[in-house]
Amino acid sequence: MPLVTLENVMKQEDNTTVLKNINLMIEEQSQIGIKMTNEESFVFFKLLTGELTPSSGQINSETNGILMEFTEDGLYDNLSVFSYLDIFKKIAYFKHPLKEFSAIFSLSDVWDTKIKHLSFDQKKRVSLFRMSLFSPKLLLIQSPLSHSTVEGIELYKKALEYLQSQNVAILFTSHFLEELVLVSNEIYRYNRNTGLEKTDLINESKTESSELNDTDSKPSSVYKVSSKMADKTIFFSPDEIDFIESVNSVSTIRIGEEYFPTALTMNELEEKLTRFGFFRCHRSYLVNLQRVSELVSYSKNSYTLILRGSNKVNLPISRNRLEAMRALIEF
Amino acid sequence: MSLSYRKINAVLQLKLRLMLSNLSVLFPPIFSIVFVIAMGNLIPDVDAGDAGAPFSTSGFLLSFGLIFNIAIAGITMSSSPIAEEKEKHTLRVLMTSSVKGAEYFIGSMIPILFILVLTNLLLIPASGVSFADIPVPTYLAITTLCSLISILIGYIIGVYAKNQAQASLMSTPILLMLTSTPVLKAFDENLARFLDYSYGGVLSNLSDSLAAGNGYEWNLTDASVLFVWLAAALVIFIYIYKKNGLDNG
Repeated sequence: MPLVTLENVMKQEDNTTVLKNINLMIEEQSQIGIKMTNEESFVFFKLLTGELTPSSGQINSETNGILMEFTEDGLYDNLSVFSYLDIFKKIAYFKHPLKEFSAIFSLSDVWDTKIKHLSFDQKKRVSLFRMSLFSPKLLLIQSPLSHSTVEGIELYKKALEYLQSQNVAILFTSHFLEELVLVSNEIYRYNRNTGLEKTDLINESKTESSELNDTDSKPSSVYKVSSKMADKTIFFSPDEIDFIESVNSVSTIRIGEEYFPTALTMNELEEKLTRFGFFRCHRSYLVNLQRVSELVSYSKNSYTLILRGSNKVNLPISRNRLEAMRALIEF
Repeated sequence: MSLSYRKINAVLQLKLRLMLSNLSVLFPPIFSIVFVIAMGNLIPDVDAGDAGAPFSTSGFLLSFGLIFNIAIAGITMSSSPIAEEKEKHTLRVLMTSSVKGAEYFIGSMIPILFILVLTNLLLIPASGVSFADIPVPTYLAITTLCSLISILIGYIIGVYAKNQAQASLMSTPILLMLTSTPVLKAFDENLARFLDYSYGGVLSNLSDSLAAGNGYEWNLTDASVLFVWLAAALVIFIYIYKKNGLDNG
């Protein structure tokens, strides 16, 4: 049985729609990542904990054991790690000795150190330790690794593995997909216009096993552009992509404010993506025509494509390519 | 609403540990004792009426020390930590860890009240008033009620303010009014009658009576003034808390 189910959830605040079309099922032990802004995540967490009521839609929660952590949440800097956790142990009525768990959260060597002397990574693990004392069923964590070091990420993941073994489900939100890829098994992107969209994701280990079971049947109408991040490969549907740019001879997928490198060349991508409405407007740019909102001419031979969205990206288009585009979209 | 003794105790221990790790919080009560002793050495020791003196030295010092401790220490020690916790986002962590607002307030109040009551007692010898002249239960009752009123005023400021700077800005006019009560009462009779209806005025009356050796007797006016102030502070506090919540930052 899922811990929490959200059906068509929409939330408005001050006459502005903060969240809409949220459909999500959170199962036990799941590690879900959602790409959204901090403002959206703040409201989303409060909806999940019941502090806010949705404007429409339904949230069914089978548990009260939901805890949340926001990026800006503070710790008591003047207390030592033990002293801080000891207070929360009393609040949570946690019966086991804390020291037994210090190694799981990689805090043994700073056990008596004041929190103000800890690194960002260590503080994040103290926070995770504190939440684990309450035996939660679901943790909601905002941007846990945004300032973490590589070692810090590894230690944080180790602590997450322990929590997962305790049947704790964790939902992360972040501005950056790269961060979510590191800690989640299931990733969604929140789009203000369309709502929550699942991003396809496979782990390296799973790829290997799936290769063995590969069959001859290949659907011909499906194509996804892949980008390898750490030990995971992310797949993007063509319609998610704003444009592809060649940066230092590396084809880089641009989605919103984020960049994802891909191993394919611009020519290969053009060949694959033309049938999905992509157009090579310049030697270094392959644009999703569905994203184009304006064509502006600043001089006789210079044209610029302006894409939809808050950042209004400008892409160059040469005069001879303009003719090809004109023929393609008939304007 | 059921409160958990365990959580109140945890908050109490948290506050004690925070105080021990940052002793600057204890400056106002310590300073009130030091200030009274220093003033006692500077001001000539006179009784009321001696050489036209409008007040006795020990009464003035006790009154000043009590106001200093109860008003300044009471209000700053209760408002500043809440504002600091909101500013540093530690209060939200407590609140999302199943600690209720009432548990937080009670747990935080106990160490502050203990320090204020202890300081109120230490001010008696510091100001030069004899213990033998003091009806201790009455003294304790009045000063403790006044301390509670100050803590509640501090809570109102703490809940309303978004950060420490705003809390200290809001506290300043209130502290100025309260600390000037003994001096204003001594120099202007009309103002003195008006100030009798403030809890600072009641404190001043108490210390003046004790210093004059007349003893202090509870009267309906002082008792009513204290209970009205306590009730008003409590009602305003509950209203502001319900309106703003504990963590509106």
